[in-house]
Amino acid sequence: MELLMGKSPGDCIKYRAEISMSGEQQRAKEISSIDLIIQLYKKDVDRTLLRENLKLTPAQRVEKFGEFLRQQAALRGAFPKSAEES
Amino acid sequence: MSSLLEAFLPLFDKHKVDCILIGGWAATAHGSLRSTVDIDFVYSRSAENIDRLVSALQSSHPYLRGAPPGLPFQFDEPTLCLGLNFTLTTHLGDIDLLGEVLGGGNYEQLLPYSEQFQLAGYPCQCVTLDKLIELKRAAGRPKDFEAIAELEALREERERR
Repeated sequence: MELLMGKSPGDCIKYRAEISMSGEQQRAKEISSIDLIIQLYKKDVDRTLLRENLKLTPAQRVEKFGEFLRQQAALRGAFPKSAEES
Repeated sequence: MSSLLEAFLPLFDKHKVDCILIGGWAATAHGSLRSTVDIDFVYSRSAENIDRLVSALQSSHPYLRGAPPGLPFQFDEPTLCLGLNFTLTTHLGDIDLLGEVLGGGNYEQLLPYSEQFQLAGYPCQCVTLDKLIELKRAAGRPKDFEAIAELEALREERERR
């Protein structure tokens, strides 16, 4: 797995094919290419934000997200439509 | 702009609709920070519940999302009985109503893998985090890989607490 850190999802699939070809078929079965891709994404997840969010109740998380959406909509509405959009 | 949960949950509560929140809003309730533009529910296919669902949503004028305007689509009991999964646009926002979901089955099969939250002031049956990860994995869509990574990280962080 360490070999794949920093590699692209395409590299993972290639890696999977290589380990399969080299005879490590059992290992290739256990570690699917999808799992490898998910593992790669997982290392970039900002866990500090998740930890902060986990301190909230489900209702508070939903409320916070609703507020984010409201601010996003207000921001969008603050800009005049471009000629292509209107 | 009110959130989709604030828009739909009062209607579902008023009409006693049996449904389970899945997808991005369920992920948000569990702690995900990813954004979503629609809301997804698995609904019970019982005749009584379909009646209640129609009553709850009829005033929001549901229409097939992405379909050309003017189709003779009626959001009523016969239509829901003949179909299964509906991706709809309404005056309240976009909603997906799913009779069955890959990896989770129907409402009755998914119910044991749900928990009740109080969201936006209303009770809401929400799929568990473990099952949500299973559903996303079963769907196998590349666009979900990043979301699965975040949900699995969430699960790990939750287990550490």
